[in-house]
Amino acid sequence: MNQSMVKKELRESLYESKGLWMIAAVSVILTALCVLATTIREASAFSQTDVLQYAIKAVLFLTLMVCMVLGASSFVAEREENTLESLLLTPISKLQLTLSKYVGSLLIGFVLLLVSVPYILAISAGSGLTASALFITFFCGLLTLLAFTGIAVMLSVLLESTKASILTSVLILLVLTFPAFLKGTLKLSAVGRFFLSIDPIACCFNLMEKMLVDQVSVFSLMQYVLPLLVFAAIGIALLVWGSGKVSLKGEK
Amino acid sequence: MIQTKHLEKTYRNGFRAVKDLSLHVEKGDIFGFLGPNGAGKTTTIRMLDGLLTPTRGKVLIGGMEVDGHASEIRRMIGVVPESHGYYYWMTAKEYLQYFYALFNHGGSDEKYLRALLAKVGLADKADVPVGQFSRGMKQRLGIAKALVNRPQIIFLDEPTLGLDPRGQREIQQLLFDINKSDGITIFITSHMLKDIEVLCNKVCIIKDGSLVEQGSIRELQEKYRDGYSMLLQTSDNEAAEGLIRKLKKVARVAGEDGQLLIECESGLSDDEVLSVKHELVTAILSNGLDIREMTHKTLSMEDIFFKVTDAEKEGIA
Repeated sequence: MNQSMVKKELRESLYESKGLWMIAAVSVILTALCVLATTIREASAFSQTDVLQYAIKAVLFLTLMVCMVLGASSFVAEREENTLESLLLTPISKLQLTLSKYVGSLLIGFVLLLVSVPYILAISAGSGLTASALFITFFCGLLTLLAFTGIAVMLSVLLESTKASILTSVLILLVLTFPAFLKGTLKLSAVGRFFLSIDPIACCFNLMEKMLVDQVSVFSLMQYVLPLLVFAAIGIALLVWGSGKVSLKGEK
Repeated sequence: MIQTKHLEKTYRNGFRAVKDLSLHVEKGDIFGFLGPNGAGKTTTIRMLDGLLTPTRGKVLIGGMEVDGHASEIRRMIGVVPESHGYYYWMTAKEYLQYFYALFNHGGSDEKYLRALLAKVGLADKADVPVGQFSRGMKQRLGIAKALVNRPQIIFLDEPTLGLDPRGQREIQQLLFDINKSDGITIFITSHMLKDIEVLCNKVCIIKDGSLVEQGSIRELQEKYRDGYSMLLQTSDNEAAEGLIRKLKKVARVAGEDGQLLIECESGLSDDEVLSVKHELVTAILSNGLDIREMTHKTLSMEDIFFKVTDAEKEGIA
């Protein structure tokens, strides 16, 4: 990883890729959620724990979306703007280049997770679940970020246009989010159970439910932690594999 | 300084972009690499700078094989690619600082970078965002970027493409200065044959990926000169043309930009050429015409390029 390149990625993400606006937009969405949640809670429609779960799900989804968009446009944008050739002509290796772009996108995600802290503190106030809520947000958030951003950056290396790269990344996120919303018999079927046991988003949701509702320790929930770790490892492995494929437009 | 041995590149789709290309560029040369569109110039440059791996053959830069020494080679070279992109949100100084840091593990050398900006005539634009630069200014910044790592060789792919005549001249002058003052070897591709003629001491012409001709411009002028040529302007070119056509040992007479281009038969000795000139002057003056200008016409790079590529097309070369 190259420090100068990470700095440049951060600056570019914040100023050029509208990263600051994305952070502001996430803050507005979370504020709106907080206001809505408070109103709904006062109407006793949802428990505080339910509201907290919705808030964490929203934080995870928004953070992943922002990072995937940034990651998915990282290489393909350099290729489209004809700036990649100059980077490839420096002594920086393709792996360093890829890791720098990856870390640049991850840092924005980390900032977004930090932005969510006051909201989670506000929603969980008085419930005794603040520590667990923050743990879940950062643990699940960081592991899924590592994986999904890795996949997005890899797609950015492999695909020829920003549009294709972002669409494919978002599609992967949506497809992997789908099993987490399986209901009723689908959830109980063998296929449904299998998908739920390996799907990272479903694992996040289950981990959250067990920790916040049943107040089970994370050490007793390895069946949900392990798939997340494996998924993060797969994301990083795909990123490293993709780094070897970095090439100029049309060269493939 | 740059040597290729039987270099070949075949892309995955089977297209052979470069075929058996052997080049030799000496230290301090300004080497012009010419060829029509699609001749394989960019592919060759990308093999020389290590961005593409040759299918066959070798590339040696400073005696070091590119394959396996890409990182060391990149510290020795600077490249201005054909489609050079910029980070438009960066200022000129930030842009150079960024690339300097990539070459020097994050370091910075304000004095050197300021000197570089001054060298390319952008000292007063150091804090201006690149997005506000004209095409010529961007190209000069691109050359400054190619110099951040104090290279021994710079490769330029069509550096004057799309520039107005003033911009072209500025780039020519800049490259000439870099070569003379810093002793940097320059490898340049250009469609602007005037650039090549003004700048380069050696040229190479490729067509369909194969080397067609290589040598100094003087050597090529000698080789492709069919016969002695001169340009003549008289008080009545039409009448003069009729008179000249009657002279022996004159192969061709044609109008060219208000002048007459006269080509003598090939293989004439210096004395015979002198005799033709004498007869020509006598014929014109004795018929009451004035000679306004009479100059020896050397073969331009454009003439050589067309002769070489046309000869190749006709299967003569």
